[in-house]
Amino acid sequence: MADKPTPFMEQYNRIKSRYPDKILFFRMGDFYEMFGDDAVKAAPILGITLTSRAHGKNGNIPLAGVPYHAAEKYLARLVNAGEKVVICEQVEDPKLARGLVKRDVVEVITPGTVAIEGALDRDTNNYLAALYRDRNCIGISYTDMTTGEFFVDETDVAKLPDRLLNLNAAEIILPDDSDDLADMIKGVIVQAALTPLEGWKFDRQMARETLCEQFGVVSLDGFGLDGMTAGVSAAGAVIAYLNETRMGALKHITKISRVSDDHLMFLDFATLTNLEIVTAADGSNSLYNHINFTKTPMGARMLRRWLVSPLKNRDRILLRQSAVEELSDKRSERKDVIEILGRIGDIERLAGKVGSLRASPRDIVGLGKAMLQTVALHAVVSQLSSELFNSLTISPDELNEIAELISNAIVETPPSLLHEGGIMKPGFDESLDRMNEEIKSSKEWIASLQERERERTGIPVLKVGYNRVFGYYIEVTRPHLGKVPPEYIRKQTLVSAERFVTPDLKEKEELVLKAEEKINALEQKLFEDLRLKLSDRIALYQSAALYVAIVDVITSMASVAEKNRYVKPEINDSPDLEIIGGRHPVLEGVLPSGSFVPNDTEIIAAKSQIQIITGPNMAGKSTYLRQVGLIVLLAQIGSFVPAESASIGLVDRIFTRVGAADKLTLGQSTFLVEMNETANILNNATSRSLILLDEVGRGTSTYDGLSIAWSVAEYLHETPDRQARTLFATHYHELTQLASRFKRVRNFQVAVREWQDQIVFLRKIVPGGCDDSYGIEVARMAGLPNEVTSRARILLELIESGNFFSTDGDKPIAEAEKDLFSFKHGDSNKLKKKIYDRIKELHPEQMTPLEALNLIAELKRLVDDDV
Amino acid sequence: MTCRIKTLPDNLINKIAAGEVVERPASVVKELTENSIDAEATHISVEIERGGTKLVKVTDDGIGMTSEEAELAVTRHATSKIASVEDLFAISTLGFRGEALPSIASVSIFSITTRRRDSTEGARIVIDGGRTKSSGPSGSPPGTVIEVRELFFNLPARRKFLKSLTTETRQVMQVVTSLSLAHPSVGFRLDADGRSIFDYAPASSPAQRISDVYGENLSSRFLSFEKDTGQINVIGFISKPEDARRHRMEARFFVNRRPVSSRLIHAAVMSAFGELLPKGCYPQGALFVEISPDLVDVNVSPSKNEVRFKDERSVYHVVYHTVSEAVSKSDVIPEIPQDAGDAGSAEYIERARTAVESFIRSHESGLDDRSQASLSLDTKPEVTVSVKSPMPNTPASGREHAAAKPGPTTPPQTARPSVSPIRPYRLVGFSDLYIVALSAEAIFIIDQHAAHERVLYEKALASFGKSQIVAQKLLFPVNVELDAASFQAAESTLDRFESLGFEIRPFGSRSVAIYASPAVARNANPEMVFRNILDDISGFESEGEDINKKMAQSFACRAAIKSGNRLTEEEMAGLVEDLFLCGNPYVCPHGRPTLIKLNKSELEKRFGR
Repeated sequence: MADKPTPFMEQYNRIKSRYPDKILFFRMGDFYEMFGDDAVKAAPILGITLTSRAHGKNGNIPLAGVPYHAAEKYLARLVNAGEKVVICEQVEDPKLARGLVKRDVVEVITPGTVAIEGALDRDTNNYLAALYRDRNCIGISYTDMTTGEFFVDETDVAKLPDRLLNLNAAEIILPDDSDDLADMIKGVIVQAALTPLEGWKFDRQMARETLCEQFGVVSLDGFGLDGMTAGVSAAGAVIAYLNETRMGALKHITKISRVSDDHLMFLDFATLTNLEIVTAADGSNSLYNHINFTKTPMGARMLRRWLVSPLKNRDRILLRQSAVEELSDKRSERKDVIEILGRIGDIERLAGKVGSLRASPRDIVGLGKAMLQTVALHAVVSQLSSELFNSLTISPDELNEIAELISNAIVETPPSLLHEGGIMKPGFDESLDRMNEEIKSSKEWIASLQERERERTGIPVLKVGYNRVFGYYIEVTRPHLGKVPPEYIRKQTLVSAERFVTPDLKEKEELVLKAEEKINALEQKLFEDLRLKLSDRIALYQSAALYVAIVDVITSMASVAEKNRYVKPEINDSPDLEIIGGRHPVLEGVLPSGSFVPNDTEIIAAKSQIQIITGPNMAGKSTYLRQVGLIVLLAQIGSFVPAESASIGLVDRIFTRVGAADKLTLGQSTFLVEMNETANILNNATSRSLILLDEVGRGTSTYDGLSIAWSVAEYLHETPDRQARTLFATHYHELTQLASRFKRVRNFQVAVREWQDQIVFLRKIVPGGCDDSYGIEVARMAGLPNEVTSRARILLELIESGNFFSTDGDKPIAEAEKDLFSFKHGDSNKLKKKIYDRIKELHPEQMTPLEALNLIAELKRLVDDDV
Repeated sequence: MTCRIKTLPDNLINKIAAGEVVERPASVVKELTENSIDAEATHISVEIERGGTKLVKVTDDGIGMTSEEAELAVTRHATSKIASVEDLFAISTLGFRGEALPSIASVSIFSITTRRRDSTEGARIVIDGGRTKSSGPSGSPPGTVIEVRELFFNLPARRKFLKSLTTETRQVMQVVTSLSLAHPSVGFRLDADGRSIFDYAPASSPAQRISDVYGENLSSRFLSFEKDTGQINVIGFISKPEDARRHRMEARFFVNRRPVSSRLIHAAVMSAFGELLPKGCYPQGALFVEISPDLVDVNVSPSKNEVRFKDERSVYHVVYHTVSEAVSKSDVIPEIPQDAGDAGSAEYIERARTAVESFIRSHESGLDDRSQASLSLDTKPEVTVSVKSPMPNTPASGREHAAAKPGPTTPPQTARPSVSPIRPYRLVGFSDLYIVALSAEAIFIIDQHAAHERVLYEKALASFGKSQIVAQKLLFPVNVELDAASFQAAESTLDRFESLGFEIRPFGSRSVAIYASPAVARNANPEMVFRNILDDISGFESEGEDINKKMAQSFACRAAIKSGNRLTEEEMAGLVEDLFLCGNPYVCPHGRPTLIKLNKSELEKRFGR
């Protein structure tokens, strides 16, 4: 067998060749082994030792392995590191196998299909997406394998980047022949794994068939996919891919929903990040983190979804709002609801495990308990009168039925692993009971053996015992060894005793052990049957999960409303926006109590459509802009809002151009990012939109920037159908002149108070324009050296008087320099002022000569101290 | 010669006044919070650090002040609340003396930040030990924030008198809680060292706030009542006698929504409860007296927590009658709290202890050399029961046992009188469930199951790791099949089971054999007792006190005589004897009472005598 591989390696190579780009977990006894490059790649990721296996003349093959019972932990690490893993199991009992054990792939685990708890964040969805391009139309379909949710939509090429960023999928499937699509995505998405799939799997006819087969229907008409083509192709590819990787365990994907954004507000990626809705730059202070009081993972995921897709339809908003109101008023019911929610657990993912036939006995017991708790929840919630709660239907009887089925079958605290036995309850299966009975009587025989043998042998201290190594034995202490009957077989010698067995005892023991083996096998089968039966009711669990999620989110909103003193906003169809005492929902909680300053906002489209907000940096312009955006967003997901009162004219889209979003990784300049965002706004805004502009044109020269800012404002004022409510924060105080030229432009400023050489930020928005940006003051407060700020002040005077750019060349600047160096070290203005003030208050006619002398000394001291 | 008598500088006057107004952080909190209430705040947040010695910060959303008003507020005897002597006699606001802020500011690093709603800018004044450090405009929300740092930093002597941080924190809690009860429509939140202590949303009714403060469970058992005589209005939410506690603080009195400590009201309430309250116990809850301001003088002490009524008699009478009416309408036989855990029933233990101690004393005065009041018996009981033979299932050794019993749940055996073998009382079994013991002063009703549970519980606890409860060999060993979790639990607690009188050995996979079981539980099925105990201890760590207690509790419950078992008179006597020998005879291990006392006065009340 010179160069011929062993039959084992042959088997390995055959399987490995099907998955060249994935890591192969090859089951060998109690281990999953990896060979060759797989082992080299995986060992450092997993922190396990790389060893090698002798392989004839070919030398050594690298080898690394993980124990099968801890495999999930390692799989999670690999998947999180972006690897795809193929699980290859022994598919026949090694004891019965002749020659090489048969092995086959049972599952392929990829970032988008992983269903291992350790690899998932409980509060976020793990999406697998597929894209298909048909000219300018992009079909997009995505599913969360762990919960069974499955969506499809079509969008145009321009919107795709935002859609993908918002979706944040873990893995994206693309046709392998569509390079342009791949290039487009690579420019936007960094995290997701891109998986090419054979082009024909996206074929429309093929896709339809795959979907029909998955849902067990003959036509897709019932899913509202009319007119969709690219979307159907993408959806078909999702199922095809899952069939390939999950080997068909997809029962929990029971339906597909078309994402229709007719009633949803589309938030582009810029707005999502600028307003820090679900993720924040500092990681913790997102809106989601501050208002998430949900108690279940379903609720947490639903709240995230609501936050990124607010409603546009007044009735839908009011439906949620009145439910929030009711629970916020009814404290004691809310307390009950919260208590029950806390006991429910993750129904969606449990259902996912049942559907993919991976559920352990504990998962099943968990599912049963969750069903019971859902019934309990329903009992409380059905007493409430809000329409939203009444419109949700679940069937407590059916849930009870499932719970009962489970609790009749499985013991309350089963082992976590299937093959340990002790899973099924007595009374569930007759033959199992009978076998248990047999064991029991054998054991009783053994137990009573002690009494019988004592009598028979006359050894009063004779004991019958059991240990794991020797099984059952008879123990006789040393002094009585003489009385041991001849048929006793010595097994073990201890310090003070000897242990024996008898043929009878061995026989019974054999019986017991055999029966135990049989019982374990039977239990396993019974359990698997039960699991299969339960997997037929996935839709039921999913409806329960949906019910729980909605109740959870509404309850969370009610709790926040009470805790953070939110009020119910009035929602109307006017083009106006009125907020009294509005607060920034995140910042007010982060700042020390009693320091966040609330502000009113009044945008009346016919009078004050565009509001120019001036004021120094750091005064709170950006906070104010974000605050208005967040209040509108909260109002339109049905939540109460942080304000004393609010009346919100429905907004169809919130646009933001706030700060410099850091897209440096993508190699775009700050100015370009700014202009991209502005262009998006001007091209897509309608008269129903809300636009928050912060410092447009900052990334370029002053005059360029000012001109762009001015014309943007003009455009929004003058262009029909683009007359969106706009808050425009700027430090170009020249823009305040817009108000006198355009009738719906108003000026506001962030109030600042000059006080004893300093400025005090009042953080209050007041009417009027601000003609000073206090840049130098702010610079001083930020700790710039005195020399720099003093010099800056002089130069500023020069520029403002128009002398700076005079034809006289450097002269004025040089003069100013002289001025500077005459007070080299100190803060000249301050000193001047001190001396000035001191002299001003003098009354020379009342001074004695001594006082006059003292004054001279004092003035000298002032100057000395300053240097 | 300089004149030796000088007018004191303001700063010193303030420091002296501070001594009267500001005793401790809690008084600062009280003054500031009352100011906030007077300023029509709807939400008040109180934050303290290190018991308030490092920081007291009170934030409100009230009307706020202009900068001129703020300047004045930190000046002595400046107040917006009274303008003339006449006003002093018609005080309806909480603060009025105009001393508080300057006094506090003179002994701390003090800052006030305030803004009126209609003003764009706020004002901020910082005062360091009475000296103004800065004063100017500020960007702040409407309302007032006062920060008091390093209280008494310039009065080291005073600082020394402060109690432990826990005590000071508790005082602050009491103050804020009291005020929150008096002002249910205001939201109150209290944070100590960054941790939230409570956060009460504005309540729609006083009852709602009562429920926030005392918990829904307890407050739902409160007696609530209201009486309006035209001159005086009394509203109360007061616990029933069985929920009474040892702390006087638990009863909060309010006059015109001002928390007060009034002996008069206290006396009226206590005598309304009369004999129903065990000695040394006080009801919990709140009682509000509303009375025309000119009939009450609140200016008795600078801290304003004492009041003087013009017509003390009528106040006393109204309170007394209102409360006693409410009490008599309720059930006087102690009710058993639904979910009384060990902690919740602490007061019950106290009550019962008093009862039984007086019981024992009244019968054994001769034997108890520690008893101060040696009462002699007027009537000798007709029958005496001999308890020479204890109950068969309670070994005679039980006596020493209990007396030496350790364990945190049971108070040390201090004042227990020596026990006479002859007990002069009469015992009757009732309904195969209760033992009724008659004495001259009272009727005791003892729950036989609960009592036996207590006896067994203490024995079990004492047995762990030491002795063993008498075991009874089983004729046929019993084989018990367990699930994986229970089997593991059984394996790790085998030694404890042995202490309890079990002999158990592992017997193959997931099964054990029982060779012997406790003699006391001879009537019960050993397998069931064993299984039940295992179930009860599932989820507990296999080491430590908790599991010992849980196991003892479970054992006691499973092995005790059941209700429905008929006991002979001897058995009853043995049980009662054993019970009174327990370290803590008044409740069963689950916290339910073992006995109930009905004394003569209670009966008289019931019969309307």
